[in-house]
Amino acid sequence: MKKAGLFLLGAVSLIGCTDYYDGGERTVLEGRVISNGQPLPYAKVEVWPSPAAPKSGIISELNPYEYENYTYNYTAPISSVTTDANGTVSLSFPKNTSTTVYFIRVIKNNDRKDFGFISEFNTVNHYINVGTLNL
Amino acid sequence: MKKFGLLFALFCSFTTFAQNTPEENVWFAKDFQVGLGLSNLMPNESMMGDAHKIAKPVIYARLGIFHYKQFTLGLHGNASTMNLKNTQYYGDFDRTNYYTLGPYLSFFQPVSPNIILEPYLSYDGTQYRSKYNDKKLSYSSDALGIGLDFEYKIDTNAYFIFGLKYSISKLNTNTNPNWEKYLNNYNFLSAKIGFAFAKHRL
Repeated sequence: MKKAGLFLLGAVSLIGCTDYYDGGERTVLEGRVISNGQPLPYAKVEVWPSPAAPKSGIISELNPYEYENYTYNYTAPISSVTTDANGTVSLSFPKNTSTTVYFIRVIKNNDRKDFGFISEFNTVNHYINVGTLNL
Repeated sequence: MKKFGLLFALFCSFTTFAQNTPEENVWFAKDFQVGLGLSNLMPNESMMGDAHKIAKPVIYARLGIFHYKQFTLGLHGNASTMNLKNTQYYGDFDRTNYYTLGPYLSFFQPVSPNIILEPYLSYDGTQYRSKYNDKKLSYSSDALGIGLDFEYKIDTNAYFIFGLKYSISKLNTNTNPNWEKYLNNYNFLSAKIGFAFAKHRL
Protein backbone atom coordinates (compact mmCIF):
# COMPACT_ATOMS: atom_id res chain seq x y z
CA MET A 1 0.00 0.00 0.00
CA LYS A 2 2.88 2.28 0.92
CA LYS A 3 4.57 1.51 -2.39
CA ALA A 4 1.37 2.24 -4.30
CA GLY A 5 1.05 5.57 -2.48
CA LEU A 6 4.63 6.48 -3.32
CA PHE A 7 4.11 5.48 -6.95
CA LEU A 8 0.96 7.60 -7.13
CA LEU A 9 2.75 10.55 -5.52
CA GLY A 10 5.61 10.18 -8.01
CA ALA A 11 3.23 9.99 -10.94
CA VAL A 12 1.30 13.06 -9.75
CA SER A 13 4.53 15.04 -9.26
CA LEU A 14 5.69 14.00 -12.74
CA ILE A 15 2.40 15.14 -14.24
CA GLY A 16 2.70 18.39 -12.32
CA CYS A 17 6.11 19.07 -13.93
CA THR A 18 4.88 19.03 -17.51
CA ASP A 19 4.44 22.32 -19.35
CA TYR A 20 1.61 22.23 -21.88
CA TYR A 21 1.54 24.35 -25.02
CA ASP A 22 -1.29 25.06 -27.41
CA GLY A 23 -0.20 25.35 -31.04
CA GLY A 24 -3.50 27.04 -31.85
CA GLU A 25 -1.87 30.35 -30.84
CA ARG A 26 1.61 31.35 -31.94
CA THR A 27 3.51 34.59 -31.20
CA VAL A 28 6.33 35.94 -33.34
CA LEU A 29 9.22 37.67 -31.55
CA GLU A 30 11.89 39.85 -33.15
CA GLY A 31 14.67 41.92 -31.60
CA ARG A 32 18.37 42.60 -31.37
CA VAL A 33 21.07 41.78 -28.82
CA ILE A 34 24.06 44.08 -28.24
CA SER A 35 27.04 44.14 -25.91
CA ASN A 36 29.22 47.21 -25.31
CA GLY A 37 27.23 48.99 -27.98
CA GLN A 38 28.04 46.38 -30.63
CA PRO A 39 25.75 43.73 -32.13
CA LEU A 40 26.27 40.42 -30.35
CA PRO A 41 26.37 37.48 -32.78
CA TYR A 42 25.65 33.88 -31.79
CA ALA A 43 24.30 34.68 -28.34
CA LYS A 44 21.74 32.22 -27.00
CA VAL A 45 18.25 33.66 -26.60
CA GLU A 46 15.64 31.71 -24.65
CA VAL A 47 11.96 32.43 -24.10
CA TRP A 48 10.57 31.12 -20.81
CA PRO A 49 7.01 31.11 -19.52
CA SER A 50 6.63 33.03 -16.28
CA PRO A 51 4.09 33.26 -13.47
CA ALA A 52 4.85 37.01 -13.07
CA ALA A 53 2.10 39.60 -13.37
CA PRO A 54 3.62 42.64 -15.10
CA LYS A 55 1.80 45.98 -14.90
CA SER A 56 3.14 47.47 -18.12
CA GLY A 57 4.55 46.50 -21.49
CA ILE A 58 8.01 47.94 -20.95
CA ILE A 59 10.79 45.42 -21.62
CA SER A 60 13.81 45.89 -19.38
CA GLU A 61 16.42 43.87 -17.53
CA LEU A 62 14.79 41.94 -14.73
CA ASN A 63 15.95 42.47 -11.20
CA PRO A 64 15.77 39.11 -9.40
CA TYR A 65 15.01 40.93 -6.12
CA GLU A 66 12.16 42.91 -7.61
CA TYR A 67 10.65 39.93 -9.44
CA GLU A 68 11.62 37.20 -7.04
CA ASN A 69 9.36 34.52 -8.45
CA TYR A 70 9.43 35.11 -12.16
CA THR A 71 11.39 31.93 -12.95
CA TYR A 72 9.23 29.62 -10.82
CA ASN A 73 6.92 26.82 -11.95
CA TYR A 74 8.32 26.12 -15.41
CA THR A 75 10.93 23.51 -16.26
CA ALA A 76 12.34 24.55 -19.63
CA PRO A 77 12.29 27.35 -22.20
CA ILE A 78 9.74 27.11 -24.98
CA SER A 79 12.20 28.54 -27.48
CA SER A 80 15.98 28.46 -27.61
CA VAL A 81 17.77 30.06 -30.57
CA THR A 82 20.96 31.98 -31.32
CA THR A 83 21.31 35.49 -32.69
CA ASP A 84 22.59 35.80 -36.25
CA ALA A 85 25.84 37.53 -37.31
CA ASN A 86 24.15 40.95 -36.86
CA GLY A 87 22.87 40.17 -33.39
CA THR A 88 19.27 39.95 -34.51
CA VAL A 89 16.87 37.34 -33.23
CA SER A 90 13.66 36.11 -34.83
CA LEU A 91 11.54 33.24 -33.57
CA SER A 92 8.00 32.14 -32.85
CA PHE A 93 6.58 30.20 -29.95
CA PRO A 94 3.23 28.54 -29.12
CA LYS A 95 1.02 29.63 -26.25
CA ASN A 96 1.57 28.16 -22.81
CA THR A 97 -1.75 26.87 -21.50
CA SER A 98 -1.25 28.24 -17.97
CA THR A 99 0.21 31.72 -18.56
CA THR A 100 0.37 34.50 -21.13
CA VAL A 101 3.54 36.00 -19.63
CA TYR A 102 7.09 35.16 -20.71
CA PHE A 103 10.59 36.42 -20.07
CA ILE A 104 13.69 36.39 -22.27
CA ARG A 105 17.05 35.01 -21.17
CA VAL A 106 20.18 36.04 -23.09
CA ILE A 107 23.34 33.97 -22.59
CA LYS A 108 26.80 34.40 -24.05
CA ASN A 109 29.77 32.60 -22.51
CA ASN A 110 29.54 33.31 -18.76
CA ASP A 111 27.23 36.32 -19.06
CA ARG A 112 23.52 35.96 -18.56
CA LYS A 113 20.69 38.46 -18.25
CA ASP A 114 16.92 38.14 -18.06
CA PHE A 115 14.55 40.62 -19.69
CA GLY A 116 10.83 40.96 -19.33
CA PHE A 117 8.10 40.74 -19.72
CA ILE A 118 6.34 39.62 -22.85
CA SER A 119 2.66 39.97 -22.04
CA GLU A 120 -0.68 41.19 -23.35
CA PHE A 121 0.55 44.75 -22.77
CA ASN A 122 3.14 44.61 -25.54
CA THR A 123 1.99 41.82 -27.83
CA VAL A 124 -0.15 43.03 -30.73
CA ASN A 125 -1.63 40.64 -33.29
CA HIS A 126 0.57 37.82 -31.96
CA TYR A 127 3.70 39.88 -32.61
CA ILE A 128 6.25 41.56 -30.37
CA ASN A 129 9.42 43.44 -31.18
CA VAL A 130 11.46 43.42 -27.98
CA GLY A 131 13.80 46.14 -29.27
CA THR A 132 17.47 46.10 -28.25
CA LEU A 133 18.56 43.87 -25.38
CA ASN A 134 21.88 44.89 -23.85
CA LEU A 135 23.91 42.00 -22.42
CA MET B 1 -3.88 -8.30 -31.21
CA LYS B 2 -4.84 -11.95 -31.95
CA LYS B 3 -8.44 -10.90 -32.60
CA PHE B 4 -7.27 -8.13 -34.92
CA GLY B 5 -5.11 -10.64 -36.83
CA LEU B 6 -8.02 -13.03 -37.19
CA LEU B 7 -10.36 -10.27 -38.38
CA PHE B 8 -7.75 -9.09 -40.86
CA ALA B 9 -7.25 -12.63 -42.24
CA LEU B 10 -11.02 -13.09 -42.58
CA PHE B 11 -11.36 -9.77 -44.38
CA CYS B 12 -8.52 -10.63 -46.78
CA SER B 13 -9.95 -14.05 -47.61
CA PHE B 14 -13.42 -12.53 -48.02
CA THR B 15 -12.17 -9.98 -50.56
CA THR B 16 -9.75 -12.37 -52.26
CA PHE B 17 -12.04 -15.30 -52.92
CA ALA B 18 -15.33 -13.56 -53.46
CA GLN B 19 -16.92 -13.30 -56.87
CA ASN B 20 -15.09 -10.73 -59.00
CA THR B 21 -17.88 -9.49 -61.23
CA PRO B 22 -20.27 -6.90 -59.77
CA GLU B 23 -23.91 -7.78 -60.18
CA GLU B 24 -24.96 -4.24 -59.31
CA ASN B 25 -23.53 -0.78 -59.86
CA VAL B 26 -23.41 -0.18 -56.14
CA TRP B 27 -21.67 -2.28 -53.50
CA PHE B 28 -20.25 -1.78 -50.05
CA ALA B 29 -16.93 -2.22 -48.26
CA LYS B 30 -15.07 -4.28 -50.85
CA ASP B 31 -11.81 -2.39 -50.85
CA PHE B 32 -9.07 -2.34 -48.23
CA GLN B 33 -5.50 -1.07 -48.39
CA VAL B 34 -2.50 -1.09 -46.03
CA GLY B 35 0.97 0.25 -46.61
CA LEU B 36 4.15 1.82 -45.38
CA GLY B 37 5.83 4.94 -46.64
CA LEU B 38 7.55 8.25 -46.19
CA SER B 39 6.10 11.71 -45.75
CA ASN B 40 7.18 15.34 -45.40
CA LEU B 41 9.03 14.91 -48.71
CA MET B 42 9.85 18.11 -50.62
CA PRO B 43 7.94 20.42 -48.25
CA ASN B 44 7.30 24.02 -49.18
CA GLU B 45 9.18 26.83 -47.40
CA SER B 46 7.25 26.76 -44.16
CA MET B 47 7.70 26.44 -40.43
CA MET B 48 6.63 22.79 -40.45
CA GLY B 49 8.74 21.88 -43.46
CA ASP B 50 11.83 23.69 -42.21
CA ALA B 51 11.47 22.31 -38.69
CA HIS B 52 10.98 18.61 -39.42
CA LYS B 53 12.94 15.79 -41.00
CA ILE B 54 11.27 13.20 -43.22
CA ALA B 55 8.46 11.30 -41.51
CA LYS B 56 9.33 7.60 -41.45
CA PRO B 57 7.89 5.13 -41.44
CA VAL B 58 4.33 6.22 -42.13
CA ILE B 59 1.69 3.53 -41.62
CA TYR B 60 -1.22 3.86 -44.03
CA ALA B 61 -4.61 2.22 -44.15
CA ARG B 62 -7.81 2.94 -45.99
CA LEU B 63 -11.19 1.32 -46.34
CA GLY B 64 -13.51 1.81 -49.27
CA ILE B 65 -17.04 1.95 -47.91
CA PHE B 66 -19.36 2.94 -50.71
CA HIS B 67 -18.67 1.90 -54.31
CA TYR B 68 -20.51 3.15 -57.35
CA LYS B 69 -19.15 1.81 -60.64
CA GLN B 70 -15.52 2.98 -60.64
CA PHE B 71 -15.94 5.50 -57.82
CA THR B 72 -15.20 4.74 -54.19
CA LEU B 73 -15.97 6.80 -51.12
CA GLY B 74 -14.16 5.68 -48.01
CA LEU B 75 -12.08 6.49 -44.96
CA HIS B 76 -8.32 6.68 -44.79
CA GLY B 77 -5.79 7.16 -42.00
CA ASN B 78 -2.09 7.29 -41.37
CA ALA B 79 0.29 7.82 -38.48
CA SER B 80 3.97 8.55 -38.10
CA THR B 81 6.66 10.47 -36.29
CA MET B 82 9.10 13.19 -37.38
CA ASN B 83 12.29 14.31 -35.68
CA LEU B 84 13.02 18.02 -35.41
CA LYS B 85 15.95 19.55 -37.27
CA ASN B 86 15.41 23.31 -36.88
CA THR B 87 13.50 24.65 -33.91
CA GLN B 88 13.88 28.39 -34.57
CA TYR B 89 10.24 29.07 -35.47
CA TYR B 90 8.75 25.89 -34.06
CA GLY B 91 9.74 25.83 -30.41
CA ASP B 92 12.15 23.75 -28.39
CA PHE B 93 10.99 20.18 -29.08
CA ASP B 94 12.72 17.10 -30.44
CA ARG B 95 9.98 14.97 -31.97
CA THR B 96 6.50 15.30 -33.43
CA ASN B 97 4.02 12.43 -33.59
CA TYR B 98 0.90 12.76 -35.68
CA TYR B 99 -2.09 10.89 -37.00
CA THR B 100 -4.39 11.72 -39.88
CA LEU B 101 -7.97 10.67 -40.54
CA GLY B 102 -10.48 11.63 -43.18
CA PRO B 103 -12.70 10.64 -46.08
CA TYR B 104 -11.53 10.11 -49.64
CA LEU B 105 -13.09 9.84 -53.07
CA SER B 106 -11.32 7.76 -55.70
CA PHE B 107 -11.84 6.64 -59.27
CA PHE B 108 -10.17 3.49 -60.58
CA GLN B 109 -9.21 3.11 -64.21
CA PRO B 110 -7.72 -0.13 -65.59
CA VAL B 111 -4.93 0.69 -68.05
CA SER B 112 -3.82 -2.88 -68.84
CA PRO B 113 -4.90 -6.41 -67.89
CA ASN B 114 -2.82 -6.16 -64.71
CA ILE B 115 -2.53 -2.48 -63.92
CA ILE B 116 -4.98 0.01 -62.46
CA LEU B 117 -4.51 3.71 -61.87
CA GLU B 118 -6.56 5.14 -59.03
CA PRO B 119 -6.46 8.92 -58.59
CA TYR B 120 -8.18 10.28 -55.50
CA LEU B 121 -8.96 13.35 -53.47
CA SER B 122 -8.96 13.29 -49.70
CA TYR B 123 -9.64 15.48 -46.73
CA ASP B 124 -6.89 15.02 -44.16
CA GLY B 125 -7.54 16.10 -40.58
CA THR B 126 -4.29 15.80 -38.65
CA GLN B 127 -3.53 15.98 -34.93
CA TYR B 128 0.08 16.72 -34.00
CA ARG B 129 1.82 16.16 -30.66
CA SER B 130 5.38 17.32 -29.91
CA LYS B 131 7.39 16.75 -26.77
CA TYR B 132 10.74 17.41 -25.21
CA ASN B 133 12.03 18.01 -21.68
CA ASP B 134 8.67 17.83 -19.87
CA LYS B 135 7.02 20.02 -22.49
CA LYS B 136 4.10 18.99 -24.63
CA LEU B 137 2.66 20.79 -27.61
CA SER B 138 -0.53 19.97 -29.47
CA TYR B 139 -2.14 21.44 -32.57
CA SER B 140 -4.01 20.41 -35.69
CA SER B 141 -4.28 21.02 -39.41
CA ASP B 142 -6.72 20.55 -42.26
CA ALA B 143 -5.54 19.47 -45.68
CA LEU B 144 -6.60 18.61 -49.18
CA GLY B 145 -4.80 15.55 -50.50
CA ILE B 146 -4.37 14.84 -54.21
CA GLY B 147 -3.08 11.34 -54.80
CA LEU B 148 -2.47 8.68 -57.39
CA ASP B 149 -2.10 4.95 -56.72
CA PHE B 150 -0.54 2.54 -59.21
CA GLU B 151 -1.96 -0.91 -58.56
CA TYR B 152 -0.48 -4.11 -59.98
CA LYS B 153 -2.60 -7.23 -59.82
CA ILE B 154 -0.89 -10.07 -57.96
CA ASP B 155 -3.88 -12.30 -57.24
CA THR B 156 -7.62 -12.50 -57.95
CA ASN B 157 -8.46 -9.57 -55.75
CA ALA B 158 -5.05 -8.54 -54.42
CA TYR B 159 -2.84 -5.77 -55.73
CA PHE B 160 0.60 -4.42 -55.01
CA ILE B 161 0.39 -0.64 -54.78
CA PHE B 162 2.74 2.28 -55.16
CA GLY B 163 1.23 5.64 -54.34
CA LEU B 164 2.12 9.30 -54.38
CA LYS B 165 0.15 12.05 -52.73
CA TYR B 166 0.55 15.81 -52.45
CA SER B 167 -1.03 17.46 -49.42
CA ILE B 168 -1.93 21.12 -49.25
CA SER B 169 -2.46 21.80 -45.57
CA LYS B 170 -3.14 24.70 -43.27
CA LEU B 171 -2.42 24.66 -39.56
CA ASN B 172 -5.27 25.78 -37.31
CA THR B 173 -3.15 28.46 -35.67
CA ASN B 174 -3.89 32.10 -34.90
CA THR B 175 -0.78 34.17 -35.50
CA ASN B 176 0.44 37.46 -36.95
CA PRO B 177 -1.03 38.06 -40.43
CA ASN B 178 2.41 38.96 -41.85
CA TRP B 179 3.75 35.58 -40.73
CA GLU B 180 0.73 33.43 -41.35
CA LYS B 181 1.82 32.16 -44.76
CA TYR B 182 5.14 30.86 -43.41
CA LEU B 183 3.82 29.54 -40.11
CA ASN B 184 0.55 27.97 -41.25
CA ASN B 185 0.83 26.85 -44.88
CA TYR B 186 2.41 23.44 -45.10
CA ASN B 187 2.53 21.45 -48.32
CA PHE B 188 4.39 18.19 -48.79
CA LEU B 189 4.64 14.98 -50.77
CA SER B 190 4.09 11.45 -49.44
CA ALA B 191 5.03 8.11 -50.98
CA LYS B 192 3.83 4.65 -50.04
CA ILE B 193 3.99 1.00 -51.02
CA GLY B 194 1.59 -1.63 -49.82
CA PHE B 195 -1.18 -4.04 -50.70
CA ALA B 196 -4.77 -3.50 -51.70
CA PHE B 197 -7.53 -6.07 -51.51
CA ALA B 198 -10.44 -5.12 -53.73
CA LYS B 199 -13.26 -6.78 -55.61
CA HIS B 200 -14.89 -5.91 -58.91
CA ARG B 201 -11.88 -4.33 -60.59
CA LEU B 202 -9.98 -6.49 -63.10
